[in-house]
Formats: sequence, structure tokens, C-alpha cells
Amino acid sequence: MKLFIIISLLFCTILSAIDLHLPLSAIQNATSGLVLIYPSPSAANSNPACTFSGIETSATYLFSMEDLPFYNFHVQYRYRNFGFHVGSSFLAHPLYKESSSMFSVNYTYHEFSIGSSIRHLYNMVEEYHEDSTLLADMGLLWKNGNISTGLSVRNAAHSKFLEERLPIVYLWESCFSITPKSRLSVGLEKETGFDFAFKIAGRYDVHKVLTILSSYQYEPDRIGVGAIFNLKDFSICYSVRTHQYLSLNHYISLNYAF
Amino acid sequence: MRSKILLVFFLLAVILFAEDSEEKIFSFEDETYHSTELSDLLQNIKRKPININTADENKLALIPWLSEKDIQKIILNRNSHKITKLENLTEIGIDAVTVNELKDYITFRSTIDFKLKQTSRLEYHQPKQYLPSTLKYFQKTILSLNNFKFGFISQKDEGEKDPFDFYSYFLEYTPENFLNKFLLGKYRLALGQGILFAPKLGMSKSGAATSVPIKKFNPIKPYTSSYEIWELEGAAANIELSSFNFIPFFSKTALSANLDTLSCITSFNESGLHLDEDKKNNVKEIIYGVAAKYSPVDHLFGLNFAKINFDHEFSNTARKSEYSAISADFVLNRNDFPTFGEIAYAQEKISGVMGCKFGENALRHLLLIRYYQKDFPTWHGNPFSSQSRFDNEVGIYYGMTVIPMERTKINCYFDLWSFPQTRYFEKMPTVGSEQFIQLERKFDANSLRFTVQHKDKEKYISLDEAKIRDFERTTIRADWWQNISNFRFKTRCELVTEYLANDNIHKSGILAYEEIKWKIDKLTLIGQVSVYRSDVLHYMYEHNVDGIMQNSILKGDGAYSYFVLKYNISQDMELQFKVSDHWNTKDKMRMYLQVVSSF
Repeated sequence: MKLFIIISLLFCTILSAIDLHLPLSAIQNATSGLVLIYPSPSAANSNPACTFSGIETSATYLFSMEDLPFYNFHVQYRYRNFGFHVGSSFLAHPLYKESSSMFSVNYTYHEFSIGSSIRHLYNMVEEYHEDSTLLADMGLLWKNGNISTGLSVRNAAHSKFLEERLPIVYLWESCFSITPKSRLSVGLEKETGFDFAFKIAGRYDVHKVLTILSSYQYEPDRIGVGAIFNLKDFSICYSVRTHQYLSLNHYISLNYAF
Repeated sequence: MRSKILLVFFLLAVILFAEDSEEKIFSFEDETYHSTELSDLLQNIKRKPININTADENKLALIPWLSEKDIQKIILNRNSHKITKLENLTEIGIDAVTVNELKDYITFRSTIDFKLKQTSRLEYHQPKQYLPSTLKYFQKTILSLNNFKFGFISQKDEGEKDPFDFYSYFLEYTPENFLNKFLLGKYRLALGQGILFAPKLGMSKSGAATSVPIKKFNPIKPYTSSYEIWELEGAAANIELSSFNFIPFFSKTALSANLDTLSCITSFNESGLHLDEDKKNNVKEIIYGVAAKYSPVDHLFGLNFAKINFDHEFSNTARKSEYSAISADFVLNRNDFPTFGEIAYAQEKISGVMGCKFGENALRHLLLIRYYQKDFPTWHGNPFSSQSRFDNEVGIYYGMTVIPMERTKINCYFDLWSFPQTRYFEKMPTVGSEQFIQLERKFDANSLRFTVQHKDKEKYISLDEAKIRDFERTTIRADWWQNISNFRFKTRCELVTEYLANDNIHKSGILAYEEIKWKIDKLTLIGQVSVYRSDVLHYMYEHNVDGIMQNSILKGDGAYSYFVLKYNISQDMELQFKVSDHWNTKDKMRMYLQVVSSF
């Protein structure tokens, strides 16, 4: 029963409790999943066309529940016009487990980038089911001066899991540099069978060592806020985000850029 | 869904033209923060002009337009001939341009600073039922004599017999020493972010998404409002010692309350209408306490303590009639983008507001969280909340102001709140959210503003056994201002929809109005005609005579109009008149006649 409540509450905005679209880092938690406003290695999971050379790891107890730890590790490396990314996510409830491992590659030509990734998804609910599948994601990115726009399609091949088709998720995002220190990002997320989710996020570089992120998502209504502390090539991000029914979602991430 | 798509399109339309440019047209509250010493000085001199006949050399040097030579000319000449008018200054050799600049900052009168401001207002509301007296009368007299100010305010509502049914009086003393202000009589108290004490008519959410929710109060002020409740009566002072301020206060006042059969308070009568003398001022309240403030250059820290005692018990036993309340408040970086908050403790319950403003003028953000525990005593407080009664509310607000290009401004805010414990009229916890976006574009003689507001909340609506329903209200509004010569035209079109998801009930309404303002010399005329066809309520701001906040609530099929006249009879006196009426309803006409004089 407890499992049912957690899953139904936790993922009530998602088509099913499979292939959870959870933020993969504290940055994504603060920006409601928008990735162009503050690129990081895990951004390739949302849009495979994103490139940011570095290592990123994050950890959280989802919605402040001690038995719902969620871990992430991502590495991305850029070589000439190509970017390569490997990453892994792991949600470890005693009765419910989901892990996702991915490999992405992207290519940049002038202002355009195109990328694709393959994800291996494993999901297990104790005494109910255990299965895995491969999913393909695709992404496009266009950068021009102060504006960058990205479009990604997750599960573009409409893969099956337990003989059921998993939903396709479309994410569009545009990011604008309003001033050298301030950025604004807006986005729309559409999952098959569900309404559009509108997202807006802001970034402000208070100082070279401190950046503040904040965001709002409509349908369901959620607000996120985070702070990034930059120490040379390292950065630490802490963020919180509301949920319409559950406790705050606290995240912490550690990044290294190379 | 429709509102969501519109919301997105509004953003996109603007963002497509986004440029990295700075705001040049709109004024910011930040500019107020950054007001220079010179402008502060000029404001002070304007309030208390310098006497050209008695001021010494140093005092005259405060006026920036006067050169050393000009000052010498004034001092040399005023000994032989008293300067009584501006022309005298030209005669002694000060050039005409300088004299013209000086006129608001100097005076020729004696050193006694005497001012009398008198406001008298008559209101007539067409009665729906027989009342012994249908007139409403308000008068306000404020007399200033050097550092003293005395005021007397009285009001009689329609139906009330006593011409002084409500009155307020005060004596204010503002010496220029450690005693910043001393007040005797009726006053209002405002501390921190307003959890314990704040004016009840404070503004909350609005199009100024990153400025309005921050409360910036003057701690003590005379009670000059016609709002007949929650004033304090007694004495208060503001003692200033370097960066420290101490504000002791004492009040013994009476309130009009509804009592149950055991003489316990069930609620307070906030309307101010006293048709039954037995229910008027039937509960006594004593408050005393002290607030301490420490204001280093850029920050502010406060500690507030009050002891409150009612002479009746409350019918809700969770509320005590005698208790202490304490709060701590702070504002960091108050002259720029501040971080602010207040936390209060009373009757073993906690409440708190905390916010942070960050960004630059072109992209500003405001985050604000609030938490008010159930049954926290809210008598004199009015901090930020989704509604006027903030008891038992938890919420987070995110406001954003974007200046994507010159003359264009976008304000948006998103507010989430919940009432995790039941309220007296709702039998289960409820949640709600609000989204607001406003795009404003200014042209040379025109301004355009588009507003979309969407509220989605659980609301108590009794249609059948299920009482709590998902309620959505969406307002889409377009405003257009045009300035043509002495005329200003304002056109509004508004569409409002309401939706009860559980019952699939849709309601909608449309409203349009044209407002014309004409100003010439001493005369200002404002007229407005609204037409509406609606199953829902439309809330509409109106121009009024000074001191009135009457806004219209329109519903049904009909038309509504009002007309305002303001005429300066002389330099010291202004006549103000307003009439408003619903064209298809007989008993809703209102008339106001007001004379404002200042000597």
C-alpha cells in the first residue's frame, strides 16, 4: 500500500511510473528541467544536442523521503565538433527501483547542433514486474548571439516496456541573455496524452562565485529556486522545488568543468 | 488550456524581439532607493521652504541654484528692504532663470509655519430600504504649526444618527532632536513585514510583480483614514538615537464585535456601519509594547513586542483574550535588491514571511515565502497573503519583471498557496495557484497593456453534497491609452471565464469601457461608460474624489457610468464631485461632493 501511495502521489503528473522524468541535477531541479539557461553535463539527458564538457554528480532524497534516494552521475567531453556523453541515474527504493544508463553523441556545425542518445532503462517493482528496454532520444540546438533554442524528443522510437508503449516527450526551450548577468528561459513540455506544461526560469549571476536560479512550472504548479557556488572549475549547487502534494524536493550537485 | 496557450504566446511575441537594452522610460522603485542626496535635500526643502529673509548664509547655500554672489546680494539687500515677492529678487540682480527655479524652495513669510488642511465630503447612496438618514458625511481637519500637527476626523455612515459616529483625533509632535515623533490620540502602527501590525488597506499582489509584495512602512502615523476599525488610541513615540530607533506604544480602544449568548466574541464588525448602538464599541482592547530598530547604512533589524488584552473571551477557544506577541524583522541590502523577512510568535503559534529580491533592472526576480500557523492572532496584521485573511496559509510567490527592450516591460508572477488545515467555512484542506502576466508597451502618445490572470483553486461552493470544488477563473484584458492634446482616452476590453471542473460548469463575461480625461488649467473632467454582458463578476478600478477607494463590481447585462469633476476654485481650494450609476438598476446611484482646502 505504501508503495502504491508513493508512486501514485510522486508521479501523478506522469503517464506511468516508468521512465520518470525527474530532474537529474540540482540545477535542473532549480530550473524546472530547463537546461539551456545553465548548461551542465546532465543536460544531454534532456536534449542530446547540448554539450558541456565536465563531470556532474548529484544526490537527493526525493520529496524529503528518506527511503527514496536518487543518484546521478554524468560525464561529457567535447572533441572538435563532436560531443560525447555517458551518464547514469539510479532511484533506489527497497520495493521500487529504476535505473537509466545513457550514451549520447552530438555534432555542431556553425550555430546548429544535432544530437542523439541511446538509453537503457531498467524498472523493477517488487512482486509486480521487472523489465528493461532501450530508448532513443533526439535533440536539436540553435545558438545565435543572445538567443539559444532547443527541441528534443525523448523516446522518439516509441519503445515498449512490458508490452506497453512508453510515452513520447517533446521539450522545447528558448533561452535569452537579457543582460550579461541575467538570463531568461521559457519552455514547453508535452507528453503524449497529457496537456502542455509551461516552464519559465531566470538566472542571475550575483558574483563570479554565486549564481541564483529560479523557475516556475505551470500544470502542475511548481516553483524552484537554487544557488550555485563556483570555486574555480568546481561548482556546488543546492536547490529546492515545491510539489503540489508532497514535501519540498532538496537536491545537491557537484560539478567539475574541463 | 486556452489561458496556458495565451500565456505562452504573450511571452513569445515579446521575446522574439528581445534586445539587450536598458530601461529608459519606466520609473523603477529602485530609482527611489537610489535617490541621490541632492534630490532628498530638495524634497526636504520643498516640504519646508527656506525663509529668504531670515535664513543665514549656510542655510541659503543649501539651495543649489544660488551662487555665493547671489547669497551675498540677498543678505546685503534684505537688511534694508524686506524681500516679499519673487520680483524683489530680480530687482537685486539675481537672474530670472534662477528666480524661477527658486520659487518652490523659498518663502517670504514669517518663521511660523502654519498650515490648515480641511476636507469635507458628503456622500449620497441611493437607499435600497428606508433609513433615517441617507447621507454619509466625512470631514478631516489637519492643522500644522511648526513642529506640531493636530487633526480631527469624523464620519457618519448612511443610516447612522450620530454625526460623530466615528471620529479620530491626534496631536503629533516632530521635534528635530532625538525624539523623532510623538503621537497622542488615534494612530496606526506598522512594523516589519506587517505580521503583527500593519494598515489593513495595504496593497498585495499587482502588476508591479517584483515590488509590491515587499512592505515598506512608516512605523507610526496619525489615523486619518475613514476605515472605522483597527485604529489604536493612546500614545506612541519614535525615539531616534544614532542608528537605533525605539517605538514605545500604548493603546486603549473599543471595537465593535458580534457576541454569542455567553458574551464571547465570534467576529468583529469591520464594515463600520453601526445601526445598532448596543453592538457599537462593545469590546475593549488594551495594547502596549515597544519596537526597537537598528538601521545601519544598508540594513535594518527590528524587534517588536506587544501585550494584547481583550475584555471578552473568544468563542473559538483556540484564541486567547490575553496574550503576548513578539516578532523579529530584518531587511538586508535595503537600498538595492533586498532580502527581508519577519518571524512572529504569539499564543504559542508561529508565523513568518521571508523574501529575496535579486537580478538587475532588466530582469528582476522576487521570491517570497509565507507560513502562518492556524489560529495565529491576525487582528492588527496584514502581511503578504493570497487573500485578506492570512490565518492558516502556507505559500510561495515568484515574481519577475523583464525589460526586453526600450519602452517594453513584462511583469509576471506565480503564486502557490495552501491551507493545510481546515478553515471555518471549508471542511477540508485546500490548495490554490495564480498565474499573472502583463505586457506593457509605451509609444510616443499611446500605451498598450495586455494582461492575463489565471486562478486555479479549491473553493467551497455548495451545489450538492460535495462542497469543495476545483474553481478556475481566467481574466484576459487589453488596455489602450491615448494622449491627444489635453485629452486622455483609455479603452479596455476584458474577458473573464470561470470553470467548475467537477460539474463541468462554464461561465463567462465580457466588459468594455471607454474613459475620457480632460484637463485644462484649473479643471479636470473624467467620464467613463462601461458596458457588460456577464455571468461572472468583473472588478473595475474607478477614479474617485480624493480619499475614496470605491471600485465597481459588475455582473449581468447592463451599463455603468461615472463622472468626476475637480475644479480649483482658488489656489487654496478645490471642489470635487462624482456621480456614478448603473443604467439598468434603480437603487445604485452614488454621489460625492468634496471640498479640499489648504491654507
